[in-house]
Amino acid sequence: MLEHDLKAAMTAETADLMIAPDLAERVEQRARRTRWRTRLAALLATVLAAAGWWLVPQVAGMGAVPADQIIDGVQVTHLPPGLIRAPDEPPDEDDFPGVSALWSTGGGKPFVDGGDGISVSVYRSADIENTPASLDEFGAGEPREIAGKWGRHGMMMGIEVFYWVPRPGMIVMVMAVGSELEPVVEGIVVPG
Amino acid sequence: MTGFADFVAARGTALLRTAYLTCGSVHEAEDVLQAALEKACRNWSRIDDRDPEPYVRRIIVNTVISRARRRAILRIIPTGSPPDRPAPADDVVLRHVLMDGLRALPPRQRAVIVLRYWEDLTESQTAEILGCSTGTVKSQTAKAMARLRTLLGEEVSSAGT
Repeated sequence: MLEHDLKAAMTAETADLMIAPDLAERVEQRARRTRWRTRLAALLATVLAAAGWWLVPQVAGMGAVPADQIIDGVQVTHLPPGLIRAPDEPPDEDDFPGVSALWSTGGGKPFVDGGDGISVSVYRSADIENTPASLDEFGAGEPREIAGKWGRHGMMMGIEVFYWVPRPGMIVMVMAVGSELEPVVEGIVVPG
Repeated sequence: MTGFADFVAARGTALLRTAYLTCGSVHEAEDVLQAALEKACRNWSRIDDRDPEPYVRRIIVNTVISRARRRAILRIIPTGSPPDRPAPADDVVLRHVLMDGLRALPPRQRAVIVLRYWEDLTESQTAEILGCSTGTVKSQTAKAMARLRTLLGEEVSSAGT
């Protein structure tokens, strides 16, 4: 019976797998560090928000970015002409909670249906750091600098992808189909 | 946090095995388990009074599926590599065919198979972990088993030729 054979195969396959004896200790240490980083980030956010309260009115009106080009606080200041905002997709629920926006020809899904498009996603997690390990944990790709930003780049099936850590706790990912990626990456502004 | 350390000591290896079967890589399984346990540790005061295992298992399975989906976007799909230790001599072909077949399944189907036939969870428990209906669990299980049966049949017929 296949179910029985499967269980036997899975049992044999994992028989030698064991956790490291110090796993709980390492996890607790890491959780403590993350807790402190989160608290520090919250404190910093409060200070920056107070500064922004004063600063924003001073610069308002100076080339303001349309509201639908601000993704979780990240400004998309350049988009190729002719693209329109597609309906939002539900966010991923995993260890990198993300918010995405898509602009495409006709407002469709270029990654599925064809056509041109640009997608910008912002992922936040206290675990994200500007290190090769953190970028590898997020995804895969070749190290590359684009528009002065160091990150990971991939080009597969006509989809060009670049993602980087503009600051700890945040990854920005830009995907392009049939459109130039670099000007969009160059035009990404992460306030603060 | 004694309760947490006790929980990891008692159930960590079982959870690591589930993670490995779901993702197909020892390195990633360790990483996913550590991330899931860290989340549990941060919320331990809230989950300590009930059984934390389903909570951690749910994080593991959904993290693996989400990572696989994200990699699929980048078109860098892990094919999974067999463990670097020798397989036992008995049932070696069947086991390898089944494990290769398991690794080749789409992430959600793989998770369904692991939860149903490795963890021995019911359809409704599996549905709860994956956040879907029992109907979806049934259809995903049927598709996965059909695929594995096909694979097994091909292997048997190629071995017979």
